Amino acid sequence: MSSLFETVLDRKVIVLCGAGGVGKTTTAAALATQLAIRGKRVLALTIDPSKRLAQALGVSMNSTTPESVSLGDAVAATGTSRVAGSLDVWVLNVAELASGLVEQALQDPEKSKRLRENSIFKELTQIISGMHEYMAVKALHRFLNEGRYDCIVLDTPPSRHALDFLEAPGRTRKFIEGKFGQYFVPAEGGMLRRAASTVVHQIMSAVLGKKFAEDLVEFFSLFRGVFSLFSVELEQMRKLLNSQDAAFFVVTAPTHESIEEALFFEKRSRALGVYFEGFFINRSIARATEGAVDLVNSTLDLGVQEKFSKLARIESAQVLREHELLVRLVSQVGEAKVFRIADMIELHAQEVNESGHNGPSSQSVGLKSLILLGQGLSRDLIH
Amino acid sequence: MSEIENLINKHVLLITGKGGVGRTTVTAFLARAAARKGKRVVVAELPQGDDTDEASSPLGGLFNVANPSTRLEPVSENIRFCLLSSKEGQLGFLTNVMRSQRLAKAAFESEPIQKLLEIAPTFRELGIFYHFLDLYRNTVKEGNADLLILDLPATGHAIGLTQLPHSVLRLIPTGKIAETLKEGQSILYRNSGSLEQHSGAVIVSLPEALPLRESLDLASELEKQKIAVLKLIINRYPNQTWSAEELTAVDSVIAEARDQGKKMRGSHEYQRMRQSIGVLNSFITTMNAASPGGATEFAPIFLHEQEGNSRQVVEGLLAQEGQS
Repeated sequence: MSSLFETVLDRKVIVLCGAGGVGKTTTAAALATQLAIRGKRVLALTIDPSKRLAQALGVSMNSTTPESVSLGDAVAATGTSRVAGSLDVWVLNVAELASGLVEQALQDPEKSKRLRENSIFKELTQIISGMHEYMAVKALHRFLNEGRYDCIVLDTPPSRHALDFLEAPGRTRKFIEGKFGQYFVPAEGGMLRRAASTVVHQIMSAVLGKKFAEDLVEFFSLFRGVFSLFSVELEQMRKLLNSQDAAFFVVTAPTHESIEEALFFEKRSRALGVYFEGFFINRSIARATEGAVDLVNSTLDLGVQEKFSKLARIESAQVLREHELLVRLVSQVGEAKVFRIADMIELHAQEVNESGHNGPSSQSVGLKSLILLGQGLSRDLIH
Repeated sequence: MSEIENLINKHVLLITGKGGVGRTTVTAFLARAAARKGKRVVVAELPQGDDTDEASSPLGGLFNVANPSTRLEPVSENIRFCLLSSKEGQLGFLTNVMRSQRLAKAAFESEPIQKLLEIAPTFRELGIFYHFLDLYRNTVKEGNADLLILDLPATGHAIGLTQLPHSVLRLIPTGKIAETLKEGQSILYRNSGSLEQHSGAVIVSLPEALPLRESLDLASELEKQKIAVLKLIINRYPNQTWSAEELTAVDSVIAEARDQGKKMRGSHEYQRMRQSIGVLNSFITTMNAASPGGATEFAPIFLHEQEGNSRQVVEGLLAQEGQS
């Protein structure tokens, strides 16, 4: 039961990646609650939680600083233990982090004002790819240096490129580290270069409109300085993420496509040389239905029994399919790296049952469910 | 008129929904159903994955297209197919602005433009948006097609794409790009007043809580972006239905077993179904509240579960629709 936590308890950073819609953020939150209960000061740094998860945790989407989650009551309700540590949650605020970076780098109120008012800077995440990942690194650096947290649990955007920022400097094609600015910044230097730059500006103005082209030039010339400073922090964080202080996981659903996607992430993290620690199989039906028995001697009408048995047959077929998938996965990656998470449906049903609602109208995941989910995170395998 | 007929009388349908719910099958089904009624249909698909040049095409596959083309091509009676491409759109846009294909190509291939396209995902989506607009201009607007159906990618990406005009217009409020985006908006957006809605989104979902919840979020997001949600299609709807009394009876048997520390085989599937009904009801309530004037009751279309591979599923759905 505790071996997962033995693996992660002393890590400074835990990164969860995976495709969209597999429950990555929920898993991250469940893991973070467990670490907090076990005595760590934890920050869950999330990019795009569903409305329901944010509600369950009681955090707002546009907060400028981490908010603390009070676990006490919910933990007491599960009747297990008390909370030895603490849990904060922050929905990554790219605008806030980028502004901070600008202040720190430019040290010139007039220039930083100009940059902050630049239309491209305002739509940074829309315009520049990879901003989320880089600003997550910025946040890691800030919070780890402040010493406020023992552990930061981070989930990545649902993109295959989510780990690109870990590549060695120079290899990345992303804007931040590339020298893209040079094409747009008014050229210094030789006549040829100046002439080329004039042509570029003419094309840009014609295509993008004069205002936007000018904003682009201004943005690139001001932002260049910002990133020379950031690159130092980025290097430090790359070292940390490449060390055993960081653990990487992938979250996946027990379906064929989802596991293929998860194997892609595993291969990717292996190529990057980070410590890949395992697969979280979310919504495991096999796990949720463990020990189930057939309906016998029921008082139900025969017709209803028939309908219910049909559901039971569908369920058994799904369990079987899941088993096959997991056996294959385990044969590829080893037993020690596969963790199953119970299907939320069971927990939800329990919670609804206990709270006496007579229907699943409540959409919230519930903090208590999250804690139960976290307790169930364990090295638990197919028999 | 059947609900399906109502849909295929529209001019533009955006098919959206969570991954794996059967968007592409539903797109093919609607296209075939429309073609059968004599509608001239254009189906379009977005490039799969991150690489624009990748030629994989699930929708094309359903129409036996071996090499999906980024130019419109006939694939069966009354149906033409097109694979949207950001490159095609970007080049088309440049040609439109610069009024010379040669100059546009030179500019497009220049290093600064290539770099800008590379770092800024928005420009890739702008390219696709423009290609779609061009397709609309050359088909429905020209009068040589009645219905344009776009199979959008899974939820997250679809929102990115429909959001695009809003965020880019904030950034570039005037000029050629802005004009293009506004033209696109005029086609896709909800009409003001009581005019009949000729375009909008169709959300495909499964009769399960999670996809339904995501559909609910998607619906409110699309409505916020002024895109009308025309229909919710529940794909793979089970053939058996439960009465309220039956549900109550089963609930108490399961609760009794739970009290004895027992778990019943089938109860997980049952809970899943129970939750689905709840979420489906709240979906309908929300959609009714959102519909202006509340003139029409929002009722989903249920497509019953079909056997076989995706081509057989399309045939099965067509046969069923033919009977109704």
